[in-house]
Amino acid sequence: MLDTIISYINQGTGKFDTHYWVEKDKKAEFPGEFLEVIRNLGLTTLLLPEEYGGSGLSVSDYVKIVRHTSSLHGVAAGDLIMAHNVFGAFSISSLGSEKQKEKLLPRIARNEVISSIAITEPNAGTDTLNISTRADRSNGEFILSGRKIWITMAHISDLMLVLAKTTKEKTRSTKGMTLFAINPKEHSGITTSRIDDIALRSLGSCEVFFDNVTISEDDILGEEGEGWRALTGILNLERLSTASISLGTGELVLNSATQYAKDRTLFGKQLGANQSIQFPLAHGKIMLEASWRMIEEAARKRDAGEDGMFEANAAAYLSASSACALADHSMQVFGGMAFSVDMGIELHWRNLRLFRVGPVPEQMTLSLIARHSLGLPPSF
Amino acid sequence: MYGKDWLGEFTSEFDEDYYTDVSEKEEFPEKFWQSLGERSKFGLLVSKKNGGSGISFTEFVKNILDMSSKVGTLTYYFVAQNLSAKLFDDYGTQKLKSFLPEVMTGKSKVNLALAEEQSGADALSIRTRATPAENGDYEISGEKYCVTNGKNADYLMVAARTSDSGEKKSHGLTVFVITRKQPDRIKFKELKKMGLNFLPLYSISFDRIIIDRESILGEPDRAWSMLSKTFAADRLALSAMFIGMGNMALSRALDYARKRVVFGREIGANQGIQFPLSKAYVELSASRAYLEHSARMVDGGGIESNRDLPMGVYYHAVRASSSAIDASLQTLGASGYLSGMVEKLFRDIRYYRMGPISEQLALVSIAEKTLGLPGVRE
Ligand SMILES: Cc1cc2nc3c(=O)[nH]c(=O)nc-3n(C[C@H](O)[C@H](O)[C@H](O)COP(=O)(O)OP(=O)(O)OC[C@H]3O[C@@H](n4cnc5c(N)ncnc54)[C@H](O)[C@@H]3O)c2cc1C
Ligand SMILES: Cc1cc2nc3c(=O)[nH]c(=O)nc-3n(C[C@H](O)[C@H](O)[C@H](O)COP(=O)(O)OP(=O)(O)OC[C@H]3O[C@@H](n4cnc5c(N)ncnc54)[C@H](O)[C@@H]3O)c2cc1C
Repeated sequence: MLDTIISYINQGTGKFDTHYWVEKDKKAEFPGEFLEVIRNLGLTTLLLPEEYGGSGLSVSDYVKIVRHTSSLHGVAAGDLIMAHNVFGAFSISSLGSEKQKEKLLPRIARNEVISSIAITEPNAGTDTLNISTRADRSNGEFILSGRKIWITMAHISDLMLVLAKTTKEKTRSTKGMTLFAINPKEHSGITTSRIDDIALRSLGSCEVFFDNVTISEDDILGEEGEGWRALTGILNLERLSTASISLGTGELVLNSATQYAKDRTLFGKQLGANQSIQFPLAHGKIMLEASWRMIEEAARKRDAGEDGMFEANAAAYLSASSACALADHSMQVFGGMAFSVDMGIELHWRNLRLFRVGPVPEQMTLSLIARHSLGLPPSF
Repeated sequence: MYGKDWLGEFTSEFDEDYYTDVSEKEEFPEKFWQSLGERSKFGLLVSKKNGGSGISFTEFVKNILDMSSKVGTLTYYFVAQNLSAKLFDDYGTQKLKSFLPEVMTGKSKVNLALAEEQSGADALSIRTRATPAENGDYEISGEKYCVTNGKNADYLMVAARTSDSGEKKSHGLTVFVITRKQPDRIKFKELKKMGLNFLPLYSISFDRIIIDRESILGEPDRAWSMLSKTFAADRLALSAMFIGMGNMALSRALDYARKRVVFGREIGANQGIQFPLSKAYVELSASRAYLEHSARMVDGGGIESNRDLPMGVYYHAVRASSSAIDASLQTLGASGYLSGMVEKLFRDIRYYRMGPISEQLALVSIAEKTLGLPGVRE
């Protein structure tokens, strides 16, 4: 089954070459043609249970597909698979009410939905408990107001998971936050504004303004006041996805740089015969291998219903740092040519850099591990 | 740190203090050795039909992880002896197999003498020679360099040239097992060193020592393929030890970081102390996942087509362990610099970054074989 999907990916997406991705990134234009193809291949519904028309893949198989697709097409491609599967298919099928499932899952199965997640705010990135977007009850409905930032694909999204405060108390507690699943296109009062940025440019990330938007009780995903708990499962899967995207894209740059190092002759010998060129590539290869085994372990734990928080965080941290180091070395291997946008090397260098900052910055991961896995005192 | 308490009934005696103590006194951990021997723990990989335990490689690796997180580098000679016993089991003549009981119980110690001063890491360029005598015996002359426990080993496996390499550089090497002391023809010289102080190191010179054919291990002239297989296992086994050593240091540092208060707060509350420890734990955990995957491949037979996988694991593990031990030493501050467990691990682990395989040569191997990059010789 997995081998079949992989060979379909190879055949079906072969036409999306470096030129395609570079052009999309330059123009900040959505890769709709690519999305169409991967939708037809079923890559957007891997985590949708079979009863709803998806593939119902295990997480262990899912990460292999994310890795493989990213190793061919890079970060934006992997991110598309993640957004559809994690923020759409998985979130609704695992947390949705019967009503939400009835309404949304058929549309997800028919590939009519682009999903996004809106957590970050100007004053609450890593410090999520500090969000100020609010949803206040009024006449059996909720009035949503506030401002989110960096929301990838918000401007084209049909399903947005929005985290908001639903308590009046001014506490820094995980209680009192609620996750809503809304279709921004069905509401007035939501505006988006694209940010001119350096990662995921083809997909686009936005500021989102909620100006007294009326939403319904039925839009709550999970339970009222339990948004944090609802997010845990989603964010863990997001971690495994970004780990696999980093890893796959790391392989992509490793393969390109290795090929270039073999092909280019300088001072009468192959560039790659120099240890200062080849050792960082070999080192990177080893780091990717180890990171991949960590991803596998995290995915296996998740499939078995065990607590894999440490493994998922460690995997995301390791994959991002290994892939970034490789991308940076690739810039060195390609020399001046790396600075030509059309070579498509700096694209991966820029995109991969994201994963050392978002969804979770390295500092937060290390601090989480220090506290929860190593029992060290809090540093802040 | 690992679930199963493999050392079981005799853990209390053999722990980090024991490791520290024998290292400090520069003495071989004889009691530990005997304790393992009484339980035949040196025949773990030997087939059951020859009296061994015949456990899987995966299990062997788990044992090493357990053991080394308690007694650190003392695990080194345990690994070496088990792999030697496996060599006897897989390749030994009747005569060599008859030594298995004493080897599995540790009554006799075995060590490999391969490296030579001029050969360095290029083992195929060794110059020790073995020439056949008329009666079918062999006469060996040459010098070996840096042989662990050389003088105290009961059996030395000596690699020698038996014919010139010809087309294939790896052709023409044979391993002989010296089973009989020939004091007038073998000279040992002890070498002083910066770590691994519970194991003495020797250079050895052989002056026309006599070895019978029955003492040849494996096929004459074809030793390299036998040794390569053992090296692959050795690399993985040692990786397990590095991970255990790293965890051993890390546990000590974490304990200290939680309790030690300076400037009115625990030092572990500072990110400058805390993050390197987190990183170390993450890297060690990744090493373990990587290692366990490879160990399963050894058991499943997949390692044959993936010969440089152990190189990657080794490289990853020795670095993860070195950083963990270094971060631990830093956490302990002055108390870590005083003679003690962490400082000893620090000096011990340093060796493994240059041997049995150096970091550079591990990278060369991955670059050439896995990535297909041009080699140094081209
Ligand atoms: C291209 C892109 C796409 C994104 N997509 C989305 C999306 O779809 N949905 C969404 O919700 N968000 C999204 N984000 C936001 C992303 O998750 C956040 O940027 C990230 O969580 C970091 O938050 P911040 O930017 O507010 O950084 P801050 O919280 O301001 O942190 C800044 C820096 O300070 C460090 N820092 C903070 N506190 C400490 C401390 N106590 N100790 C040490 N260091 C500290 C952090 O590690 C970080 O390096 C996206 C971001 C980008 C750039
Ligand atoms: C404590 C200890 C115990 C030992 N135990 C044993 C034992 O029991 N049996 C045994 O046979 N041997 C043993 N040895 C020897 C050990 O195996 C050798 O040290 C090892 O093989 C490396 O050889 P060398 O030190 O001469 O390094 P050299 O080959 O001289 O290398 C020196 C440096 O150059 C680097 N280098 C070499 N070639 C290249 C290249 N092509 N590219 C990049 N860098 C390169 C190496 O990585 C190394 O850093 C032991 C050594 C020590 C220190």
